[in-house]
Amino acid sequence: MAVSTRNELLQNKAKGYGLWNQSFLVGPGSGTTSAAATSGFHTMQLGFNSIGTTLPGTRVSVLTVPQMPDNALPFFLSKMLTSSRGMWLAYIYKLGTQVLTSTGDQFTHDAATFPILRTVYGQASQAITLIPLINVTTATTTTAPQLVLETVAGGNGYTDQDGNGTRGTKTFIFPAAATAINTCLMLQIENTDVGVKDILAIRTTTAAVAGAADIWGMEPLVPVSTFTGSINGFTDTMFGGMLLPSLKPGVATSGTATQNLCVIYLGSTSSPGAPELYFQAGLVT
Amino acid sequence: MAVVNSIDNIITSSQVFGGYRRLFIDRISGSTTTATNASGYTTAQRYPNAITLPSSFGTGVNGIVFTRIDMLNEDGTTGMLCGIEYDLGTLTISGSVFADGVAMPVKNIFGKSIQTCADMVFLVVTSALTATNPVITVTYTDQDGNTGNTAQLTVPSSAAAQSAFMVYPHLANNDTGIRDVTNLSTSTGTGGTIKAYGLLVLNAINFGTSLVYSRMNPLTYPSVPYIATSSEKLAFYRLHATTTNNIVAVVSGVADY
Repeated sequence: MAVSTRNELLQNKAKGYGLWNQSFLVGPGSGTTSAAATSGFHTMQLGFNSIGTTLPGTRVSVLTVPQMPDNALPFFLSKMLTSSRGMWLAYIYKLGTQVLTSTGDQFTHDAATFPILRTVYGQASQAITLIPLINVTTATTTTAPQLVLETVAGGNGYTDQDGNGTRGTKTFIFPAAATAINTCLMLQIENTDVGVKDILAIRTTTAAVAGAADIWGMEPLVPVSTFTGSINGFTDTMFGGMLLPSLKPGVATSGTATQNLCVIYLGSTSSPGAPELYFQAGLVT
Repeated sequence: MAVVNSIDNIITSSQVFGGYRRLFIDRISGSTTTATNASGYTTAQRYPNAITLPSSFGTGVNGIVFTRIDMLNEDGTTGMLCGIEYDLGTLTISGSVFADGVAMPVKNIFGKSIQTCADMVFLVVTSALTATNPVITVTYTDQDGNTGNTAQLTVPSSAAAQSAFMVYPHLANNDTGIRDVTNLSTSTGTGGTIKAYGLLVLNAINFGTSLVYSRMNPLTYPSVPYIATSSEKLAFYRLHATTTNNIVAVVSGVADY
């Protein structure tokens, strides 16, 4: 039965059909590298639950219950950061890994088959669009790697938001020869595209001496207010904009996608100070 | 009448019945123990004392709706919680002896009688443990009334008194809440006591540095307006810290009538 009123959602919350979760998060732990015009413009970092996470390889999602039920809608979030930056609550889905130390077709897709599927406007199993991210898992050295979303043979590099196979023409250039570990950047797609449903291939056109990266697809859920450091930010998604995304992760077309509920830090290269996040959610039951 | 249905009702209630206001100070006098990914994922402490609400109210008063709760602790970069707390049961580690407590109550929420689940359940060490990593099995009734579901936490060795460990990250798949704890057990351990406390959260605060904080205002942000009834207890938790600590809190409410 659909929940049609604010009171019903809160009543469901009281019945236990909902979540109250408080996470203390962790970021890179050391400074990352600022993005540039040829590396996605947006300086980003990924954040996870502080206990159990060792970045970049071991990630514990923002706390929820072990298996998110259908239709969990976050209606209130609060965050605290002692350093100034923006923050989004988001799902990330692992698309694969990229070798940066050799040229050629160096993308290895994750075992799960994309696109990620969700129920959208009542239609089950709809392919969703993701924002492609590259997250540095081993710092680069000596040379800034360069990537193009294509194969050496001229094949397509990604599937766009409309499902079209697309060969990239832009060269993504790492922002520094020494791009720091845990730097997160937005891959460059064509000007007429707004996201991807899958990454098919990435050609490393210029290699670094050292370096490695994971490729993720980001599904933004809720922006958690942006303020200066040490100011608590509240996001009321029930009254403040009616943004009620499902907290249940999407699923792979086949196989099991590696995914995390995480935060995306925006606009700073310093390690985020003492990030905290709590949120409430109610279930449509 | 649900007093929270309108600001006018709150103003009326304050004039007719007067407001409820309590100051609370308390101290965690010893260091507590850090949680792990097998024991809640978030480090927490429980202040040892609680506010016990009046044992009776005046004619026509159903209970108290808390319209404002301020909490201040002495250290930044921590979180604070205040909620109506229920003692769901006690485990004496030696011999794995369980003493049952209460179940979560039925509350009137926006005019509807609701069997509540705890917003959060903590395993709180009330007497320091001497076991080596005791595995605590929590047997519970879930949000749908299904009985016998279990959650397991491996509590850190020799966890100190007032350490609190969150149960919900370890619930069974598809569960989102606990109505009742029906058993607590451990297969190891020689000393110490653990209580399972269920919390209906009234307010939470995140602290930055220099004790800068903001509190969620329960009237202007969406939250469940739990009506506290006579003799219920308000408890306070501090998150993301293990050090000794003092709290000053002021809770304010109005009569639901």
